[in-house]
Amino acid sequence: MPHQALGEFEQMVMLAILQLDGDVYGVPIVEEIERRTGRSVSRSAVYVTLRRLEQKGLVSSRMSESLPERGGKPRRCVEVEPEGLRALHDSRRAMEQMWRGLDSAPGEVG
Amino acid sequence: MSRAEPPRLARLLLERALPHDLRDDVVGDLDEVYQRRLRERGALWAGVWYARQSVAFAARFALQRFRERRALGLDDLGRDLLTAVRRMRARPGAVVVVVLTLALGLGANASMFQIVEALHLRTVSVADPERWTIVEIADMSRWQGRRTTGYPVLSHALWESIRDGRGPFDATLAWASTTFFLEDSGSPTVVRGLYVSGGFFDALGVAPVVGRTFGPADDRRGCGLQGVVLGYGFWQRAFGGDPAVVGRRVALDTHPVPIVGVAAEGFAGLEVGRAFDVAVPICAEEVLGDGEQWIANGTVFWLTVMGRVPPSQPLRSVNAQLDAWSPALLEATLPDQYTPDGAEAYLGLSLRAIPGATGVSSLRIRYGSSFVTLLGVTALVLLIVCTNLANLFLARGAAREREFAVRRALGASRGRLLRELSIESAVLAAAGAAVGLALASTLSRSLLGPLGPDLSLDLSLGGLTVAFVVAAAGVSSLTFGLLPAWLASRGGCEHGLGGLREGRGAAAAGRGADVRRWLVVSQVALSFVLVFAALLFTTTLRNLLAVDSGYEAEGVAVARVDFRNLDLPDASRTAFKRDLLERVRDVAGVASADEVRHVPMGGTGSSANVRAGDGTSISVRLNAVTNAYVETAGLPLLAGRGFAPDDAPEAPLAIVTPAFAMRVGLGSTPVGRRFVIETGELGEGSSMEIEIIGLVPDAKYFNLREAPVPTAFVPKALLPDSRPYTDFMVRTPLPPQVLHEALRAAVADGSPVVWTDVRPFDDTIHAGLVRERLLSTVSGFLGALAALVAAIGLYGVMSHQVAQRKSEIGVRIALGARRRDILLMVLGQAGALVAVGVALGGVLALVASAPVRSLLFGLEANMAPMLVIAAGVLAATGALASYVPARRAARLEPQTALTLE
Repeated sequence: MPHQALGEFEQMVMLAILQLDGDVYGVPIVEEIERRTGRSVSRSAVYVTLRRLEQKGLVSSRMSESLPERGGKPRRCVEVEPEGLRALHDSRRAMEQMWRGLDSAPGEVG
Repeated sequence: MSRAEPPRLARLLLERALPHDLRDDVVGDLDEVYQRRLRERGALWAGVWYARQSVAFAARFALQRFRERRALGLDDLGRDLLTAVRRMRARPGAVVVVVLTLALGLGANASMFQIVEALHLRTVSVADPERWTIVEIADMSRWQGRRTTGYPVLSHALWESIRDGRGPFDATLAWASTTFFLEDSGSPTVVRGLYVSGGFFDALGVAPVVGRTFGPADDRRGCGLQGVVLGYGFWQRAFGGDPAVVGRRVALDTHPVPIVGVAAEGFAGLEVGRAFDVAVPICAEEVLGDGEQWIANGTVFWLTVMGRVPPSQPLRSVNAQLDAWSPALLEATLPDQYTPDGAEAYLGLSLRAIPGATGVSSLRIRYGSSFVTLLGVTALVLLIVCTNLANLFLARGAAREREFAVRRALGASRGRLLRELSIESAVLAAAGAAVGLALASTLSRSLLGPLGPDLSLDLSLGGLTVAFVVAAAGVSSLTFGLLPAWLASRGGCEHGLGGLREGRGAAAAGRGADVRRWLVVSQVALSFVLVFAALLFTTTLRNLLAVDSGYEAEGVAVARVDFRNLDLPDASRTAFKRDLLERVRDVAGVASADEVRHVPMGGTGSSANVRAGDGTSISVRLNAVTNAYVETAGLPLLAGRGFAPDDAPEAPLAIVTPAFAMRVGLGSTPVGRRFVIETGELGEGSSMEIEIIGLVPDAKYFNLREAPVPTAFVPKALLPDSRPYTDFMVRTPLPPQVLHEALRAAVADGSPVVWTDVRPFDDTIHAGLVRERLLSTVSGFLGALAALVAAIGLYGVMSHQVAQRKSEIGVRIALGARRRDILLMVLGQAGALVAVGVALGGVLALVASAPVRSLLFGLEANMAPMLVIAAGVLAATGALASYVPARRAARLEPQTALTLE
């Protein structure tokens, strides 16, 4: 079965999860994307995306213990599933296929 | 470390907005970041940040929820639609019947509404139609003179005074309908003409398509005939929409005239039902008129005068100003022909303005109320159709009650079931509405067919009609869908599943059956109203057809000869007509022929005042005839003699009717007595002393409904008549077609320049009954349909009841009940339903008949026989419909019935 196509933002969220170590949850994911891309990210969009990715089965989550510094609220820790990894690689390959032969194309900067 | 809480309102919003499963962790994450920001940037910054985040989250998740819900809802709706269509495909026959029944009901309503809309509701296509008013005389009963049409008209003098004085209006215009002969190339054709005031087109915002329209300079006395403006439709029809027609010369009533322009598309004039072909300025009447000098004669009312009210000026204040202006206007325009009585009546008139947005229409005057009545009748038919369908759906709902009970037990909500059932009825109603709308225009056209071939009513499917049908279909689908759906889905588990255990639908016999009985009762009641209406209208028509017109119309033809194309000078027209009469009389096969000023019951007439014995002034009808009138019209002389060939042409003699003799106080032997007659139509001097030489029976003057009117016949030459056409009554055994050919040969050697038309006198007499025929045919058809539908409903309910009570009836028969008793029992139950329905219907019918009384004839005194007949019709229909189920019950074998248990 062909993998589900991933949107750009979905790819960014999943790549951010893979880049991070330890407890991976909303706060560090937002920061990681902002740090690497240099642009500010809508927090609510990240959560909606995470939820969608989980519904698609590309990402899984578990709740941490309740933490007093968060007013007794737990963290939702996420990790990328093998299915998600495959989808990421597929998306990358598709892009590379499209870029092949254009590496020295005029107009590219940096 | 003490923790500062984020802004409470923002926190609340966030908790409200987030879905359950995300609430804890997202709130936790935001709190975490908030605390960090609080430390780094202070409370204000952190608070603002938190508030912004909570608004952003709330908005995003609200949007998300809305999308999900919509996707879900659409899916559900789609599924229900699919289920509904699938169910229908399983029973194509039933669906076709339901859709056709609905289409008939909705189509009939659509076509009636369409006609009513076109006739009453649609505004004329001009700029600011709501601001236009029609100026009319409030009460014309005492006024003496001639008006050319039934809708509001004024004299030319009054029009000029209103135009020049303006009064409460910011623009005024006047117009009149007429017919012309137009000759382009080939023989002259009759066209629908319009006399219009100079500013007519500009004031209405009607621009020319090509060329120009008229301006104020075109309409001044003595203008002659300078140009003609074509109507758009006529331009397309007769000239193929050729823009090069401007400047082309045509002939109107033999007068050459250039075409100056074409009016805008969509503008058909201000008379609904009659589009204009050509328009000329009012001043051209001096050239084109019938030589009667309407412009100069203040006693002829022929121009419809309209005024545009300044924006936001209420009609009441306009009327107050007109009221104040009236005396001066009338004083200034008093015609000098009047006697003191006539002048007093004229000065006593008063002007008022009435809304003019929907134009005027003689069609509306004649048939408007009939179509509104028929719209009421078709609405009743639709109601009956809905009741019948409700019954059908109830029966089906009862059959599916167990299915619904099971589904509810499995967790389907009542709303869910209701929706499924309502969608089914909505789909049926939509299909019915679509077919009905497709039928509407055809139905309207066939209904309007008998009203005349010249009719140009805009019957395009207007938005208002479509909205009306959609609303009617919606209401119908609620009526026949929601009630049964409500009842079918009401049962909880105990209700329907109980029935499941008992083996047969005991539950179905409950409230549903009661409702069905009441539905049949209301069906009978509504059908009663329709049958009653049909009886009233057909009896009215029958009564009118049975009315004796007073004439012996058999073998009499009416011939119109129009010779305006010969362009004879006024002075020689009378001699020409006398010659024509001789030619007609010489046609082989003509027994007698007479020239008449007015064909009896032909729609035109003259009136005069006669001083009665006690000094009061009596208004009488006048006709001018030649010496063969009495034998040609078939009026036997009661006393005296008719006009003789050797009487002087202008001898002051008269033949009168008994009604005349009685009203004027001349007793039963009026012959030989004299009276003084006053009328503007006498020409030189407006009064004359006349001797009565004969007495003929009363005969109808205008229509069959009227009571005997005092009528006097005077010699043709006594009323000056310079019209370039005239009418003959011809007594002959020849068929009209043959007479027509012979006449054409006789009057002008077959030349097309003289136009002739021949029709049986009987047609003229009964032409006035179009409205009655229309009402009686349509209501008769719908009444029969309603009775049939009610019969089907009754049959359904009785069959169902008999099926329900099979075992009980079986037991009764086993215990010794005779079959006759069973038959009578079932018939009795059906009879009770019919009786209640008829009683209710009787009350409804009496209430509903009040507003249509003016349309009836010969029924004023007593409607009781009609009520009895309608009751009889429904009783018989009911007996017939319930006999089959009753017989089925009586023939039940107790053995079979009991084994079914």
